[in-house]
Amino acid sequence: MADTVSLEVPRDAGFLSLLHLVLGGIALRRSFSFDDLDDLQLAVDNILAEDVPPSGTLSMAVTVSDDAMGVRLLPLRNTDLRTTLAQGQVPAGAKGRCIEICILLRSLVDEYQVSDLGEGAYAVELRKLVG
Amino acid sequence: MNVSFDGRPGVRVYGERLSEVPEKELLRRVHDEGDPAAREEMITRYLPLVRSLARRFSSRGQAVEDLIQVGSIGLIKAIDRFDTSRGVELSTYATPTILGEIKRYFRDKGWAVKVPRALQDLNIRLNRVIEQLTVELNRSPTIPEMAEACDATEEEVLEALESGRAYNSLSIYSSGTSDDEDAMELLDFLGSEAGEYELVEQRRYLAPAMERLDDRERLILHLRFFEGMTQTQIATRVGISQMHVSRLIRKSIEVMRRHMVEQDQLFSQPKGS
Repeated sequence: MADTVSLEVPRDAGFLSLLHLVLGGIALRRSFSFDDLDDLQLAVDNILAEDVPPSGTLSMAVTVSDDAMGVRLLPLRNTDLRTTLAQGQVPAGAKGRCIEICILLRSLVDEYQVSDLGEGAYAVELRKLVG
Repeated sequence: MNVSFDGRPGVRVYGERLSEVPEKELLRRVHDEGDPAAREEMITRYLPLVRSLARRFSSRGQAVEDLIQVGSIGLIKAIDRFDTSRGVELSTYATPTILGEIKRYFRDKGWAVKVPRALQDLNIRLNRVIEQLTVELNRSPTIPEMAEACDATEEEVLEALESGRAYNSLSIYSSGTSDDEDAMELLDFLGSEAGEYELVEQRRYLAPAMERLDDRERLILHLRFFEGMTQTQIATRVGISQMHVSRLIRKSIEVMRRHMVEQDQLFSQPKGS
């Protein structure tokens, strides 16, 4: 059975450590290794580093089951990042800062996907298997 | 008129030259009389020792003058605490005190934001515990396992790990051993890996940014993101701790991202500006 923990924080780098702590708190209840936890935290950091709105809030929902941990981040609005994640590579003409995030994510998590929320916003879901 | 110390403990000669007063007498004056002039003279005499010890750390990114100042604090502590009845030389007693002060400075300076000492200490302990557990368990340990090994709560472990992210790159250049001055630069061991990251450097987007990284950082990124090795495996391969690998990966990505942002700004400027 899967459990979900959600929280909403201001879009401020100062709250990143709070997201890390929440991920850690959940990971320790699911026998995640330090390696896996660090990968997941790094994946979240990199997604958010590419999507830096001036203000607003960010929602993070963490779903845990016996064999995996999923993280859903929303709303994101960087269209280059969205295209990069959807196409699996940085699109031609995109800002260079969308540094091959697909390469990073493919190593850090087992699955990732983008889902549209409308009005230019989208969510990114990351999934990391336990063990 | 200056005259020399006449050799009798406790006797002061009017106009005596402190530079000629024996060390033992100066120390007696410091401890028994709280004589600031004698203390000053002792500090002057032992400053060359401080300078010599400070210079050992000259390649670690801090101004040697700053290190001499910090080391001087250690020297003053040593002078004030030295017990003349122990039968050892002050230099023998002062050396570890001075080194300890300089190491503490590096340790404290290494934290980019103020982190409680207890968490810093736990973070340093975790560094070793993770290595030990990884060998014992033959896998990356879980948070509860790390907490048990450190005799800390799971929440404390998480906080300590998180606070470790505040640790700046200064410490990255040491191996994390307790004997910093003797620690070899790990880059020394990496010459044979030079060819392995050539593929990475050829990547269209990453190549210019990768040039901002040093050899070890490029190697670690290559192993993690192109060879698919875990942090634990990389730690074993490169010979550093898993937490160290984690820090280097984060730092390297940050350096590359900054480079990309700079490039964006450069190429988005109107021509001729």
